[in-house]
Amino acid sequence: MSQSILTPDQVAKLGNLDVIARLVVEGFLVGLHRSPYHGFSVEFAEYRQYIPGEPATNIDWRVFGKSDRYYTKIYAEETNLRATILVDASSSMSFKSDENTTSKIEYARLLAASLTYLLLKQNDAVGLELVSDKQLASVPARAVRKQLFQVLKELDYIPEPKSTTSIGPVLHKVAEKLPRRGLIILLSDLMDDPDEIMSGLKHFRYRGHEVVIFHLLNPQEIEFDYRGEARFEDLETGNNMKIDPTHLRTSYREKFEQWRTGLREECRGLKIDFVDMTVDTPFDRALMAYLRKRARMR
Amino acid sequence: MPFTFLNPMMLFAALGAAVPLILHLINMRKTKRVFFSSLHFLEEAQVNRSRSIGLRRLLLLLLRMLAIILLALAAAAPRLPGLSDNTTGKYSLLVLLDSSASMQTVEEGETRFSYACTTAADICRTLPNDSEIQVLTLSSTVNEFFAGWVTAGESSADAILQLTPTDGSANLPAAFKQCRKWVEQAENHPVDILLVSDMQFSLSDSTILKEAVKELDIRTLNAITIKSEPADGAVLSVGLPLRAVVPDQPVTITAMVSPAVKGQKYRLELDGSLKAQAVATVAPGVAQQLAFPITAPKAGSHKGLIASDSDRLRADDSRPFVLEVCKSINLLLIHGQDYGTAGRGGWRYLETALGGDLFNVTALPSDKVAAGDIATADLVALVDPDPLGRQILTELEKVTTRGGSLLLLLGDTNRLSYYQNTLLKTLGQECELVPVARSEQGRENLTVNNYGPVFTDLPEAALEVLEASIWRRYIDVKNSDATFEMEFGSGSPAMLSWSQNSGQIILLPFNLNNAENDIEANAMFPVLMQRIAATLAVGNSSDSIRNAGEIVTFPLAEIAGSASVLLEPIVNDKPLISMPVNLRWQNGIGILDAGIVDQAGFCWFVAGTDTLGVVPVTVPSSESRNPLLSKAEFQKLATDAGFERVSTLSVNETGFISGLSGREMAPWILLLCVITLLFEGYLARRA
Repeated sequence: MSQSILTPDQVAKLGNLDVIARLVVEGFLVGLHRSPYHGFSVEFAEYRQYIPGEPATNIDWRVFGKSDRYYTKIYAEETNLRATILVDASSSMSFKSDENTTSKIEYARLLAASLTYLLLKQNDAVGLELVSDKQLASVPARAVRKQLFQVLKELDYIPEPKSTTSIGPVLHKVAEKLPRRGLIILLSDLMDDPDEIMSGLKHFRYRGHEVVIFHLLNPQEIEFDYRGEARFEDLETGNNMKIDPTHLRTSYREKFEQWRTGLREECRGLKIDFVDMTVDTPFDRALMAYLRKRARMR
Repeated sequence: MPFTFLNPMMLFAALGAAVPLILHLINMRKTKRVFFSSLHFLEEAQVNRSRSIGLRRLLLLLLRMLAIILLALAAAAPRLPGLSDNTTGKYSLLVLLDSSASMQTVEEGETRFSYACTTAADICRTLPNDSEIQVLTLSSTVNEFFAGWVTAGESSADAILQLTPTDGSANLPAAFKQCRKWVEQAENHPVDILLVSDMQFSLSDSTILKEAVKELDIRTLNAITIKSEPADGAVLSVGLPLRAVVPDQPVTITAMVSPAVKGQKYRLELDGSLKAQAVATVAPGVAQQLAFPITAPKAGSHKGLIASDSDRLRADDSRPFVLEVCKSINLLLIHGQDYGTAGRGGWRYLETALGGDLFNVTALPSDKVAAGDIATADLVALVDPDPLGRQILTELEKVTTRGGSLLLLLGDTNRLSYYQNTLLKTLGQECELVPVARSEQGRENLTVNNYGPVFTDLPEAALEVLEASIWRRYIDVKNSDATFEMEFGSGSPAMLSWSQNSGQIILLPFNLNNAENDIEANAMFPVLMQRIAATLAVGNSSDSIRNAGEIVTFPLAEIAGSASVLLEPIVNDKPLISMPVNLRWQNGIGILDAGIVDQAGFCWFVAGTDTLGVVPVTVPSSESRNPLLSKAEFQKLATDAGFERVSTLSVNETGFISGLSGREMAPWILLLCVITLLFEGYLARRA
């Protein structure tokens, strides 16, 4: 079942990234994470040929004794980063511009699965919270292998969204429930009252969490490149209005961009990472962009 | 029909305009449904836009429909018909060619009349084969140029070019009246009427024009205007002495002029020689009265001319007149018997007052007067006459018929009934003569009411002397419609005047008494009587000048043998024209009738080698004074008169020829279509 979500190719791409060191430096590791090489749970990963100039302390002399070659040991470092992925499963997330494209909720599922896989591969604890106007599912953060399957199972069973987006109050609930000082990864289109969302996010920050928001949008929501008169129906409220998009395009874009900029600015003020994503953004680029950004925040 | 179409079937393509309408309606019904994440931003963007968008869409629809209709219209190749256009092929064109005096105005080297003839001839040549044409020249009278409808073509066009203008004024109602007859006789119907004119019309009464148009069963009028600015420099009228003039008497002749330039010189000529000059000091186009003081020449009729250097219209630069100078006035004084009672014998005061060079008074008692005495007198005065015989009364009536005048002094209270019921009735005055009661016979002052010819140019001091005189009245005149020239203080008339036939009668309803302090003792009495007599005996009258286009007549005291008229034009380069005259009788007076004279000049009535008299004929002042109607003014005039469709073209405007022969409209419609499409594109892009 998980194979339908997370393909081996994607896993391989993520696996080649050197993400662990960066996460450690950013201080999300609790306790011994001050130094990446002095954690209390260091696991051997592989051998690498010694490069002259490196400290000699890492040379594995036993191997030298057997093979007469210098090798150094590479350790995979274990962290206790507690990450919780919040996936917005409200009605607006089911929007897709046409039948062949991915909806925002589908994209969020894939991205959440990818992130879970990545984080578990780093031995980090990963949890999942599916929210709309209420908490739909909750998987507490754990760093065990089978956690992946637990998360993927919940992601597979996201119910057909029927609710309006009102994640603000739910964010408060989640913030109360989660232990302090973790990483919150929010996958949402944030189509809710900006004040309520910000209020929830502030609660996370107050509880010592680092927050990353993957702002998921469909390119059509940004460009509004529809042609011809049509009756537009709101996925959340069911309201509809008959308009000619060509007449409103410019004005819509202005309003929309104004809203996005407002969100971005407020998040910057709260020291929250805000990553613009669209459903056609490749996963690897999305994740790498995020991780690089984290690295720059060091 | 305003348009003709080369491909009328293409007009059905205009039904294609329904296509955008249908598409619009279909689109309105079939709207696709789009699920969208949130309408929040759309709602914000939608504010204030929906209404303007709706209007714009409607405008777009209309523009698209208009473009299709215009395309269909252009494909049908419409053509605006010209004045010489018709759709049936055969054609009857009735040309009304203005030949009035103002058409002689020179415009860029050619007269307006010449332009009019050329235009009419051009139209005649361009008419379709087998078309017929008739030309009516439009002046004071309307004359047909061809004997009947003639075939249009080169020969009739050449004939039109031979037309000459007159000195009369254009009589539009008469022209339309004439049109009716020719329309009925036309072979092809409907007949088109084409008026070629400078649009200067004298229309004193628009109802006459309406009546004339009403009789015509044509409601379309085509007109070609030929004009620029009105010509100035005209002599509009001549004012002759109001009282009889004797040789060597200083007289002033006045003229109303409208100069072309400030400081324009005007001259007065008598019998061909310059007598006086005057300079106009007003701005061009403004009327001014000029005075020409001269000394009266020897007795007789003198032809005079007030003239100026010619401007663009020579015809109205000279105005002829005839100055009559009499050797003396033969006055016949008819009085009642003297029988010594009060009120009798006063006629002698009049005889005395009229003594002098001017008057030659013959006094006769009523019973001694013969009809011949009255016929040979220049002026007849009746002073308290006894009852007159029927023959004498008839003779007195004849005096007024031939333009003579009578002076009546009636104060005998014993004869009031006769005067009221017989004498005054015969002379056209229905009034009541009432004796004034003795208690009311106080002396009264006079007031001059009407400063007519008798009192004109009387010095103020003389008037004061006259009005200070004290007058005893015995008769009051009531219920009279005559003009009160002078009044007593009580308001009853002291001097009345009225017209009878073509003569003038003055009544003084009082006695000439030998009473001290009465009127006869007033210093002004002789002057007053002389003035009254001279006014009545006047041979000069501005009314004697006839306008070109009017009937010219001359009254005869005796029957002449065979008479004729020689018209001497004012403009020297025109030849002398001889015209026959008819003798007709009017109220027992022989009248020599030269008929309508449509050229300005002097009409010499001659019999054999004798000159009977001369009548000046002039260009009607309306030809100089009336404004030239603009296109819009003419259109309004014609529409008010009853024409439903009036097309007007100016001969000197660009596009005249295309207007005459019609105009292809397709290029213009296509241009309009392109503009429509460009606008549609612009709106669609903005939408």
